Amino acid sequence: MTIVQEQPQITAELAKTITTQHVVHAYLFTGSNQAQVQRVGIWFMQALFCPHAKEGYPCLQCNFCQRIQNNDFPDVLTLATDKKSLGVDDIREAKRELEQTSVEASGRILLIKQAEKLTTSAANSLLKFLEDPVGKVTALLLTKSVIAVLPTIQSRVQILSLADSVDTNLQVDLQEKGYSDNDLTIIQQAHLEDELMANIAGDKFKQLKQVAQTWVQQLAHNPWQAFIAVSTTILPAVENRLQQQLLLSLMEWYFSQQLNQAVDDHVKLQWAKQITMAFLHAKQLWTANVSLQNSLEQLALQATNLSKRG
Amino acid sequence: MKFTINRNQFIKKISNVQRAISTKTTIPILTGIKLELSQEGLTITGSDVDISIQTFISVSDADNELHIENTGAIVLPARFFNEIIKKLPGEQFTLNVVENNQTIIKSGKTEFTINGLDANSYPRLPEVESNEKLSISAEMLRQLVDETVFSASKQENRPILTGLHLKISAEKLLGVATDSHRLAQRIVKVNNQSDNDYDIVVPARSLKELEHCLIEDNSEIKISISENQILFEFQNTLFYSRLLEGNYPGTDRLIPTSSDTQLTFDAKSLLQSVERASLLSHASRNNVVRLAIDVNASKVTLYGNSPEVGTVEENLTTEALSGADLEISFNPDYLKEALQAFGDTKIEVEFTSALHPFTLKPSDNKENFIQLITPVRTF
Repeated sequence: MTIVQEQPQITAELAKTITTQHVVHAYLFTGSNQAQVQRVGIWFMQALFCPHAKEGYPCLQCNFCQRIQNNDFPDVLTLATDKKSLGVDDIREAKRELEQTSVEASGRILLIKQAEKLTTSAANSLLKFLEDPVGKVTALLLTKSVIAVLPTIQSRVQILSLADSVDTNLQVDLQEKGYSDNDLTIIQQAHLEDELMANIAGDKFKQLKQVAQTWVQQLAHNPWQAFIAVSTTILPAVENRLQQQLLLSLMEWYFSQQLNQAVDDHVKLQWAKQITMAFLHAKQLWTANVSLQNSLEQLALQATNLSKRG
Repeated sequence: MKFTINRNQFIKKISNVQRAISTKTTIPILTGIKLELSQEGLTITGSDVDISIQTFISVSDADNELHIENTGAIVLPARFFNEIIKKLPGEQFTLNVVENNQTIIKSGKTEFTINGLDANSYPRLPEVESNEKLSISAEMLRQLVDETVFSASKQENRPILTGLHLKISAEKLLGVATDSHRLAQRIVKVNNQSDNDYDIVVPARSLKELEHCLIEDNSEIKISISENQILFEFQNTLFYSRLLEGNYPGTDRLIPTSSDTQLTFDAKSLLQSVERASLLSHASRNNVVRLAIDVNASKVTLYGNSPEVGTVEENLTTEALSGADLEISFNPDYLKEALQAFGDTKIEVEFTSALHPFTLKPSDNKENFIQLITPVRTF
């Protein structure tokens, strides 16, 4: 399935801006599925530069399209990092490069993947460039959520959100890796596509799902047991940060389930609200580099307090 | 594609191309070196997007011992390819591209098989119109770059100042570089047979690389300029550079036309004095030396001081001295670099006031070479 079929609306919209020459200087693409966001980004770059484009749609066959796809095109500057953040030095280097004239195409593109990784100073350094680029430069920022990007950046870019759609490519891929249909539904509803980009086997996923589910239940019925379970069952199950991320996302999904079920019962709802908030706080701590063990144990302690009062 | 070539000759020819290839690039294919074989010879290309260098090895030059079996193109990982060629045992080597971009390099009893990349993915070098109407001698170009480029800004906050501003009108090429604290301007002669005037800004880094390529070369260099590239052509080599976008600030009005105090120095001895004074100024926080001119006593004194270390005072030998008394402070490093650019010659230094920039010109070439240094306010 091609990206145009997956995201017909946004691609049509973008194609139209190209044919009517209303392409703006900076875009922010958001969507819960990062792989898909990236493919839309690449598609848009191809659309901008393809010499054989028809009505704003790139041919995807020609040398230009192929090279953009393979990240071999000299007038596209990609900023991406495996590290936790994109720093101000990366932006400076990019700005230096973008001050120079283009090589092959008529303009240049700055592509920033995972724009939420921009540090505040990096984002600030980008601001002036977004306001007033020298020459013909289009900036393309890709991110998971708009709110993770500085408001000052948001106000300088056109924000386009991808429609939620089933990523069939990923589903086929996952089925091959031994995921059950049941798992796939959870993945789709809980937007776990990004976490799964890094090859997690079907068995591992099942295990993590199991761990997350039991722990969330334990937290409700027996918080002290949950406290112990952090070191006895959770820690042995997760091997790296990616799996931790997946585990937390799964827990988030179960907490939201819990909220949904409690919606009619006033007392239960109160409790579910509080515990979910406490969980979101724990997740925030984890993002800020508190260890998984510490954040979850604190959560369990908070749960004991909550159940005492309840 | 398959050919055999003399190894030493090949190494010599690709040394320039290697300059353009950077290991830091984010575009994977640019870590490679492109070889393109036609019936006429072998074209070798390297690029880091900012600059691209292309060289041609002709089949008609017997020294190259180039034998072509069949034509084609390939991109090979530059770092390994270079090392491999250098370490091959034989006088000649044979390069053969078999299927899937696999490349066999054979020399003597050694055989390497290297995974290449598809040459179609390599960036196309721009077609800069070569009308052969603009040319300059290598010597002149080297001088121009040497004498100006050090003044270009090294900071990125005003990117346009990191370049050398080139203005060509009629037979005159004017190069200016400034980092807003000092400025160097040089005028040289070009052969311009077109009616076009040009006004472009070339990144300083590109010109430094170009200068390295031009060492020991005294031929005539053809220059072609397009909207976004400049091309230098010499000895079967093409050197492309991108230009900087934006408008260079007007620098003409910065250069003063009149002066109140005039001094003449021997550039070399002044350089030595400044180096001595800067020993102490470097130790202080603001890196400033003071020059006191007393015309009646015909005494010129240079002071350097560091509150922690101590002071230095030196009476300078002047060749000539006229105008009004003056005390002026400035950054000695700017003067040092300016004097290094002059080499061994007599220079004229002209001051207007303690807060106005002063100029330095060589006595024998006053019109064509000017350096400007902004003083520092110390009171």
